[in-house]
Amino acid sequence: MFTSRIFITFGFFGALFFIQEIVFNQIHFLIGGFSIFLAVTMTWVAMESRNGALISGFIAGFFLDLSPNIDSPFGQWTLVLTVMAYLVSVNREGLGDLASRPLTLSLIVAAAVTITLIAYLIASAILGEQLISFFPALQELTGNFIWTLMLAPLYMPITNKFHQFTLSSRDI
Amino acid sequence: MAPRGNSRSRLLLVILLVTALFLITLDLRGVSLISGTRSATQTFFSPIQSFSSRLFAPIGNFFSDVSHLGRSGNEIEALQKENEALKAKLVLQKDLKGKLTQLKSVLNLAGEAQYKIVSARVIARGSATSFSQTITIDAGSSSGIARDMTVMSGAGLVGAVKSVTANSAVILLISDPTFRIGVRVAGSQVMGILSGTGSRNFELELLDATETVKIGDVLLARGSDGGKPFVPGIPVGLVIDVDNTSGQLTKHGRVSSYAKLTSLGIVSVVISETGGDPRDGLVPPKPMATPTPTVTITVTPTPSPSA
Repeated sequence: MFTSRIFITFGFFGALFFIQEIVFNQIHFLIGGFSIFLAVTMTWVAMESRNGALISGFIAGFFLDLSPNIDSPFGQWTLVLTVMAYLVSVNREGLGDLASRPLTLSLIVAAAVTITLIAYLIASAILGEQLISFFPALQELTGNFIWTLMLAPLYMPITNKFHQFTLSSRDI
Repeated sequence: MAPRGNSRSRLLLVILLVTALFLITLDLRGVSLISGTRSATQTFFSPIQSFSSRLFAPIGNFFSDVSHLGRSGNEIEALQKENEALKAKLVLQKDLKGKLTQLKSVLNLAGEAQYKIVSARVIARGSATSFSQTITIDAGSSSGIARDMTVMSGAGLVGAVKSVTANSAVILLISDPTFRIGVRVAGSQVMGILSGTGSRNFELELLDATETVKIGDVLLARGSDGGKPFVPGIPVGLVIDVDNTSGQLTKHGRVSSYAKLTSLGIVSVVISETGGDPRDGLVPPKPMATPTPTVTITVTPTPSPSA
């Protein structure tokens, strides 16, 4: 069961990474950017158990590190998404079943995506990378928050359904 | 006492974090397997991105199209489909026309400077998750492109080649915060360093604090040894703001780019320079002032009926 679950999660995030690189990287979003990958990852993680969230975050981060557009060291996204997945899964436990409360889930996902990007910037600073200046970073973060919230009705039901179909009945 | 599940989660967290840190260490130490993974991904994605960029080129109507998905009715749908097809054709033609104009202007600029160039289509932009400003083009080492070559558009400098695969290359844009280039002011030859800021405008730092620059000065690339990463003479930008406060160690200014970095369709990579330094020969002409039409209204008094 454990192996099949990892296999499914790996396939899911692989497909998601493919969509992000092929489709969403062609679109020039207004204000800041939008990452379907981060939005769906956070939705997925918010619906997972603690261990499932950790493995999902690790796999998602690994895929994001494969992106040729990224300048940061390989493993930085893996580190950030593993930590964020853990934090999201721990903090959402007190909120009960989020699948039946889409508005709360949307807000949590949008906030999680923004915090993830901030965590990535902090990790970049710690690793001594050149940082983006304050206002462009703020614009990017604001844009990401708005787009993640606005497009939630599109990606959230699909993620939710896929998650229910594949994983809900199984646990690590 | 903590439940058993919690301690298992913590153990898993530690294992995964250590693995991630191990990957970072390997990458920072330059292990070729890790650094080669990204170029392998790029090699895999570039032909698909090239195809999908054709498919997604006319994306202006993307969000409005999505918002109209709920409409029904066979007749309306058929008419809409026909209308959309015609619109898409029109947008595609406009897109092609725009790309042709960009290609013509870049060829003109390269021709003036006698640069040997390879032109390529932009097939992807940097991901929103990277905070770095990059584009991917559909030409690579098989077309003679190598790392650290200058990339230009018809208006001026765009960036430098960051990584290359056989059929694609990632370009680091001039607006990226890590981007640095030596520049000189056309005419006065004052030298400085231009840095990307992540936004449309860049920071200029003069090398000599006794020199001054003024708003409207044109900045050209100073050039690097062997023309890599920058060939000399390419227009970089226009000074839009100057901080000439006395007593500072260096003087600063803000520069706006000549190249429109958000709407790049076609760019050219300078393979070699055959004509030497073009000096100030590539300075773009100043825009002509549009004449303001003057309308004179003469009021003619209406003759009164009593007269």
